[in-house]
Amino acid sequence: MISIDTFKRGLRRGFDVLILLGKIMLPIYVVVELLKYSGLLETISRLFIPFMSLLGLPGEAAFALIIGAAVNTYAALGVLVAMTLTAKQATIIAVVLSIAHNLIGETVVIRRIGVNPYFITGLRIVAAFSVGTILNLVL
Amino acid sequence: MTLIITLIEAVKNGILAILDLAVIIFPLMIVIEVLKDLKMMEKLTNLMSPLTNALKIHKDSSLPLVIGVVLGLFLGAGVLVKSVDDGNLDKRSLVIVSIFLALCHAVFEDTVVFLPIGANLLIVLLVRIIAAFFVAIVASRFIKELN
Repeated sequence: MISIDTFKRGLRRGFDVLILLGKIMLPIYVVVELLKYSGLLETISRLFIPFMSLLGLPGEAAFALIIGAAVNTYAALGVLVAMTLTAKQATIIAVVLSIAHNLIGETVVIRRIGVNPYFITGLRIVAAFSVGTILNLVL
Repeated sequence: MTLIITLIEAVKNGILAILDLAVIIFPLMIVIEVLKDLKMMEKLTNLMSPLTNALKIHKDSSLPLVIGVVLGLFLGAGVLVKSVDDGNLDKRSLVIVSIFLALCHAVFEDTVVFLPIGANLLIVLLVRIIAAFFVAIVASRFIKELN
């Protein structure tokens, strides 16, 4: 039955989870901002331009994918709205980004819950690229 | 100088994000405890049993799965950590839930965000769910037991 204890327990658990996530969120924000500031993302994305044809995307889509992977989908969207994409290209890049985004922050979360973060992140990148390539062939 | 501004901005955004999280997390955790005490969690567990059975994971994975898929990876992970603390979740289930949620979380937010570029949102959502299910099923076959 519900008692005052139910609410106390809920508050205590809420507090625990907030502390747990808060402690990792602040450093993530700082690291990601510094990464954006450094211009490193542009350099990395240039390495990925050749792979864009596999996904049926223009080379400049590499920057959207890298910024999405490092920051989040909203940051990627900021790059994408300035590009001209066909409906097929828009769908493909949306699928790839929806599977692999905010990798720095989400990798730290995975690590915190005690699972190998590199394994999971690698899986996401491989899955995102594979699915994108398949969609490029079938759509 | 711009570096300092960038850093201050980052810390400010980080604190705002934590406050945003606090607004969701307290009501969420209270609702979960209320549902538990009303014995409603069995209903959720039954509802999710096709997925937990297919992935051969502990039935208590249902709650973190639902929270993660709907509300996002951070909150899903928070609930996941609590389930592990409670001693209900084995390591194997934890890894497989993490795999599923890493690929597929916050399905509404992460899908609608692509509306402005003209993506087919139904395809985006379905393909992502199928991909997560496929990868998690394969992982479930390969990962036998973990300690």
